[in-house]
Parts: sequence; structure tokens; C-alpha cells
Amino acid sequence: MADPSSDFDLINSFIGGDESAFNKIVLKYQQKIYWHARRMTGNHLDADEVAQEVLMVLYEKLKNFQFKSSLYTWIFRITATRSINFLRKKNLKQFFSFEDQEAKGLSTKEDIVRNIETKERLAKLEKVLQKIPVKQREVFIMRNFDELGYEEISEITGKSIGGLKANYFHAMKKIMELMKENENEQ
Amino acid sequence: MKMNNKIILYLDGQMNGEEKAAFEKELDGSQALSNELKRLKEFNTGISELKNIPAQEDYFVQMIPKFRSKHEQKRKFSLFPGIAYSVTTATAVIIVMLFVMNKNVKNESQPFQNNEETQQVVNIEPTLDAGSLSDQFGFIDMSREEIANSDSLLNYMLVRELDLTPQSLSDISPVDNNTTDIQTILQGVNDKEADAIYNEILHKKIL
Repeated sequence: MADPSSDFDLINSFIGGDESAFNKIVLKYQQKIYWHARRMTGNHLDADEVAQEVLMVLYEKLKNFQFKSSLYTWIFRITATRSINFLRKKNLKQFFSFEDQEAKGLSTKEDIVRNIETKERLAKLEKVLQKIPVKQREVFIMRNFDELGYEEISEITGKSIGGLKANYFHAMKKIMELMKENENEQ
Repeated sequence: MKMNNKIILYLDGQMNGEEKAAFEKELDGSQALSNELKRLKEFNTGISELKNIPAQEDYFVQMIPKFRSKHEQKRKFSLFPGIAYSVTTATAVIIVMLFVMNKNVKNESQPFQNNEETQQVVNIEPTLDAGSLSDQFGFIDMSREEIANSDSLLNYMLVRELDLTPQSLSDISPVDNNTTDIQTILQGVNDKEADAIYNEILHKKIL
């Protein structure tokens, strides 16, 4: 987890008008923001859009940050919310066919991962993750990739720990089923 | 509880001491359970390897400049709606004002929209009911009584055209034997001459 005292100083510097403090905050959390969005959306272009949106929200709301939670938790909350909102909007667009198949293809081709083997493994994982419900996916990602405990996830998402455990359990079950299906196909 | 469910709870650390001991005992006696656990552990290891993926560093280097550029664009655009709103409102107000002014001008020249109508007015017999003609042509600024008192529509129109009121009539210098009566003035003009005069006035006014 990030150093809270340092975050405190950076936020105060930013509130005091130091723009470079915002850059430092972004540098510190940009990877976490991007990769959470990437696992939630399943491709680079969408993750980039979410990440930029998160930075915009951070910039606009950081001046009103009240230190009720850690900056890390707050950023994660924004990232999680924006990712889910993005997916909802995307589903709606796809439902009304605003997004053509060509654009869909482009979004999977463009990537920041260069290693082919890693890229293939990541693609497999993203494919599996996209098949599980958003809420279950969110808990699974936060638990396995962001290495957050149930208490932290509860603080971020506002859900009960019991509910989160149930979501994680169902996510794991679904993933195991999908893995079996994949193995049978191969 | 199903085998998979137990494995998930076990790996997620959600079993208490007693449950954990029982599961591990069961694990020793079941090859299938052991295989399933192994498979899920492998999956977890795979996930761990995908936690820190080496990615193109340029992307993260460019993240802040990209944000700054987008933010600047957004800031500029946020000023635009205010300007656009003001311009649109001002344009709408000007259009409405022009429309109202244009309507007023039209009302003043209402009875004589085109040559055909003009000809129609000129050809009206003096015996026609001036009141109904007033309705037809929209002479709304004179009461029916006033129109009826006029000897003919032609007289009425002449009075109107010359903007003659009882007051102004009294101000006109007598042309003949100290009389200011419009009827007296018009007595010396026959119908043909009156039509010619009126046509000339109309021609000047409309064309």
C-alpha cells in the first residue's frame, strides 16, 4: 500500500497550487489505475479511456479531498466506479449498435504489452474475465490482482464483506468452469 | 459441500481451524480433490505471474501529458458553451425584434399587398357598404360608424391617406368660399379624376 503521509503532503501541495504534486500522485498510482481498468474492460483502448477519465475526476475533485479515507482507497473507488460505468455505457452502445465491429476489432489489436507469450496469456485471462458478471469480476480482480483484503474492498465498493465473499466465491466457481471448458475445447 | 466450493474457501482463507483441518484430512484421502486443488493452485500462480506485466513504458510516460492536453481542451470547451449560449440568445432576440418590426410595417400597408388587390380597391363602387369592406380589408383603426359616415369608400381612403382628422380639416386653409368640408372639395372632382388621383397616390405609396 502507498505511503499515506507522503500522500497527505502531495494533496496539500496540490491544494496549495503546486501542479507538479498532481503529476507525482499520478505517477505513483497510474499503473494501478490502468491495470484495474484493463482487467475490468478487457482491452487497452477502453482501459486507456477509463484511466484518462479517472485522472480527470482526480484533478477536479482532489481539491475537495477531505482525508476521510486514504488517497489509495479513494483513487481505487473512483477507478472501480468509472470502470463499471464505462462497461455499462459500452453495453448500452453495443445494444443499440452504436459501436461497429471494426472498432471492436481495433480495440483488441492495440496494446501496450509487447511480449507475445505474455500477451497471449493475458488475452486468455481477459477472455475468461469478460465472461463473468461485472460485480464478481470486480471482486475477483481486487482480490487477486490488486491484492486487497475484504475490508478494503468493502470500503471501496461500499458492499458488505459477506456479499463480497459470496461474489468472490461465485467468480471463482465460474472461472473454474470456464477453465474446464477451455481445456475440453483444446 | 461440493468439492470445488471447499477448495475455493480453503484457498481464499475463509475456513476456520476446524474446517481447515477436516478439509486437509479429506484432501489426503482423495486424489480427485487433490488434483482439483493442484489445478486451482496453478491457476492462481498463473494469475500471480500476470500481476506485474512488463508493458510499454512510453505509455505511462505519456499518460500525464495526454491528460494535461485533454484537460486543457476540456477547459477551453467549458468556456465555449457560455459564449455559444449568449450568441444564440442575442441572435434569437434580434430575429424576434426584426419579425415584430416587419409585422408592424406590413400592418401599415395591409390593404394594398399587391397590384391585384389595389385594382380591386380602386374598382369598388361607392355604393358598397363601407363597414363590410372595412372588415374585408382590415381597416381597424376607424370605427364602423366613422366609415359609414364617409360618403364613399373612396372618400374614406382619401381622408385616411391624407391623414385628415376633424382637427386637421379645420386647419386647412379654405380653398373655396371659406369652406373646409371635404365633400365640397371633392365636389369638383368627378369619379374618373378621383380614380386617377387615387391610383397615382397608390402608385407612389406601393411602388
